[in-house]
Amino acid sequence: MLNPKGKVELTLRLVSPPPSGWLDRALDAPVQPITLTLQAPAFDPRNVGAGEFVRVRSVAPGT
Amino acid sequence: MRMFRRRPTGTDANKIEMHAAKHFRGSRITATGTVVALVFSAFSLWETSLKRADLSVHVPGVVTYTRDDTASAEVQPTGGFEVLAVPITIANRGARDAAIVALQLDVKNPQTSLSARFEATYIAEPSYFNPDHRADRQRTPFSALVIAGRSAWRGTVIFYPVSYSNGKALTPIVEVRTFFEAMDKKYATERADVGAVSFRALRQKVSRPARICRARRVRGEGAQPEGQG
Repeated sequence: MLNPKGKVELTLRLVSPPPSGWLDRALDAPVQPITLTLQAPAFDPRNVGAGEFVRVRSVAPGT
Repeated sequence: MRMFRRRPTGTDANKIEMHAAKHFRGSRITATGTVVALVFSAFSLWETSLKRADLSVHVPGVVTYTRDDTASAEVQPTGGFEVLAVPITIANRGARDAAIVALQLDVKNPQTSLSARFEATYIAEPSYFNPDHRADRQRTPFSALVIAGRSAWRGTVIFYPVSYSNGKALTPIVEVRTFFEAMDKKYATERADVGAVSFRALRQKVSRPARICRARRVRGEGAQPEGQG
């Protein structure tokens, strides 16, 4: 998915069990997913394949 | 015994009226105070017991990417599983508890248009980020989270891929190896003709138009390669 110096878009979703009682159904509100755009540094895919970590930074942190 | 004080006979009517008006004002203040207390009590009940779970998710600006090739060849794809370790904080500003049974991460590469779905599989222990990849990187299986009202959970969640837009991306190494071994046998004659040691080498030597011609011959559609017919 991630190429050296490439960008990826991440969307994180929380999965909750469906509401059970009438009160839960009345008060239930789904959590909005959050989206991040990440920029990869120049890394060697062979090193990553060997288990090296790549720190990928968000293009717009705090969003 | 007389329970209520009675005014003596002949009391001035004006005095009685003034007395009643004075006491009416006092009871109105009491009633107002009671209503205000009731409103505060209802608000307190809502805030401490009834208010629904109000979750907010926070992800910092740095995510860790790596590959995990520790699984067996029957399970892992070529090159190992792609792994994303995401530090996550989930806050519950509501009064009721919130359960989270799974975390899903949809990843899209806008340059290649390849997309994938990752799911929370492990929670990283501090030793997971040991820079020496030969060292033991500890992690615990991801379990459902229950976040109590007015509290927060934080941890580093390790996501593994469960599907790709390219359906073959998760094909295990063993299946790929078996496929190419079968192809080596099937195209043994063709390989000998061009001097290729394997089916992969044969694919590189035989150009794409030639492969298309051969496929069309097999289907009986003529021999013109694509774009020239």
